Amino acid sequence: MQCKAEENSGRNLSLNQVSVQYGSVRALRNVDLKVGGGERLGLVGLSGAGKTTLLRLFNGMVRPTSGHVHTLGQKLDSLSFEELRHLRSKVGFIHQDLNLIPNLSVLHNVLAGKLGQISTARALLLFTFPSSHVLDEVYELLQRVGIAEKLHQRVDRLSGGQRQRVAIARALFQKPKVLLADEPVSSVDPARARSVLHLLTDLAGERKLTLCVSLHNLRLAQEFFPRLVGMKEGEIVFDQPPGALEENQLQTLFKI
Amino acid sequence: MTDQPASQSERSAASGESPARRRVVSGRAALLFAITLAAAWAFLRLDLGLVDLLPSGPSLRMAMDFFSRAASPALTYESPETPAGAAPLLWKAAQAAANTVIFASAAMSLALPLGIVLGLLATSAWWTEDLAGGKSQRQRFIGRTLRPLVYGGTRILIAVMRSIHELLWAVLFLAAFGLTHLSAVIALAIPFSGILAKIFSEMIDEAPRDAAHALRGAGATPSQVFLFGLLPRALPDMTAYSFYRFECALRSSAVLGFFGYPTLGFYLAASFENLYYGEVWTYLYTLFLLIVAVEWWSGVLRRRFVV
Repeated sequence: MQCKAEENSGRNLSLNQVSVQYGSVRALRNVDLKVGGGERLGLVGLSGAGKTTLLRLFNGMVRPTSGHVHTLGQKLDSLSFEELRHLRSKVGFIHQDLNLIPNLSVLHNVLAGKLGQISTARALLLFTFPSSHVLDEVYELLQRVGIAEKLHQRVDRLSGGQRQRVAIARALFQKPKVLLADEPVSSVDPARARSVLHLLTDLAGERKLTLCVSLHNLRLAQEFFPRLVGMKEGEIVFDQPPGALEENQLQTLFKI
Repeated sequence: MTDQPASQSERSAASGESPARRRVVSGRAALLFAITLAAAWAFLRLDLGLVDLLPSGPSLRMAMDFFSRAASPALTYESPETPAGAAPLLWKAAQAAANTVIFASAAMSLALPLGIVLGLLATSAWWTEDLAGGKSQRQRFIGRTLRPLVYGGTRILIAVMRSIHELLWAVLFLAAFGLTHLSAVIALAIPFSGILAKIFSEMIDEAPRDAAHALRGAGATPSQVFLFGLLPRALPDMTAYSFYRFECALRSSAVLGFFGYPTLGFYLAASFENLYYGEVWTYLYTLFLLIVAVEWWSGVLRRRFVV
């Protein structure tokens, strides 16, 4: 029953008059945003515009100072801690700094994606004696992101691009309904940036994920996302398909 | 001209001959002067002079006898009347070394789990926001009552355990329980758990929290975040430190022989009293070999798992 309800309320995300204040700094100001299930959205703006804060609202890692956040049809501030944990396990998040565990293997880093869904005792069992079924699952995921042969390598022995794919695989191992990526291409060269964005958008298509990606490269955002949301100083300054963007909108966005 | 205190950021920001910079320099000079003064005062109080390093008369002869045997440790007993059937000296040294290792290992196998548990309770990282910072009744209870009680209590317990040296614990336990193996092992285990707990808690608190943050965002429970996000990052340092403490345990276990336990210290003291300096050196070199062996072992393990 609950499963069905979740299916219907879909994979939506929404912000309703949300403001976020860090001490004296106002990170977001009265933001309204609705993202439909399966939509692919590019979040553009200079650094400091509030993109990271906005993404972190959706998994409850940032709490709004005022306003309401809905993720997967659930109102975040009405959830108990256990309910919030359950919700978080359905939201994949790829951090800008990846936040992997460098001295563990690729396998263990990917397995860590499952933690929100199993007990600590089962997690210990999973990490020490992963079943062949689980190993196959991780191997397939790694194959999909292109680093299958690194299964037993330690993460700190991998290149930057390979580590990013580990972070993507960890998020996917959660079997998420939503995938949020914070500046996934900020530290890679343009050719590699394209391949990462291809991978993310393809994965979102295959798995019917709602995808939100923050970027500061507008050209790439225009190329990959059917809907662009521009942010400046904590506010949304435009929200439209890339084709409809006008020159003066872009200028306001990138004017400091 | 400004009269602000020189904060950390100002210090690094200050350049050239700004008033803030001048104040920092004169502060450092004053600190250096104070340390020198304290050292000079201590030396004067204790009447330390290089003359004491030049012994004379009988003590000079004894020192020379002792150090002259350094290059020729005994390979057989120096005593003229060794009882028939006694084990050869080197075999006895090996047995004493084995006993030293056994006492140290028993103590460490108690101290490690206890140190880990107490260390975890004494970290501030364990009491995460999820566990103790929320608004539910349970979280409020944990944050306001349980956290100060357990965290503070553990810190005090750790301090008590390590403020008394293992040899003092040994004196106490020998008086209470007599010369049993258990009194020696517990005497070693108590201060060692305290020290391990203190250092472990600091290592865990200093470990980077980025992976822990990511796991929390993926719905992991506080204990999972701790076990899989934080602990692995502190584990290499914790392993290296545990080996170092094992080395300390070997030394202390050897010294426990002075109380009558069959470790290296027992035979060493006996030979020393009989002025058999060659045997003393044999036992000292045995202890040295033990320490080197541990060093080598920890190096092998670290190369395989950590670096």
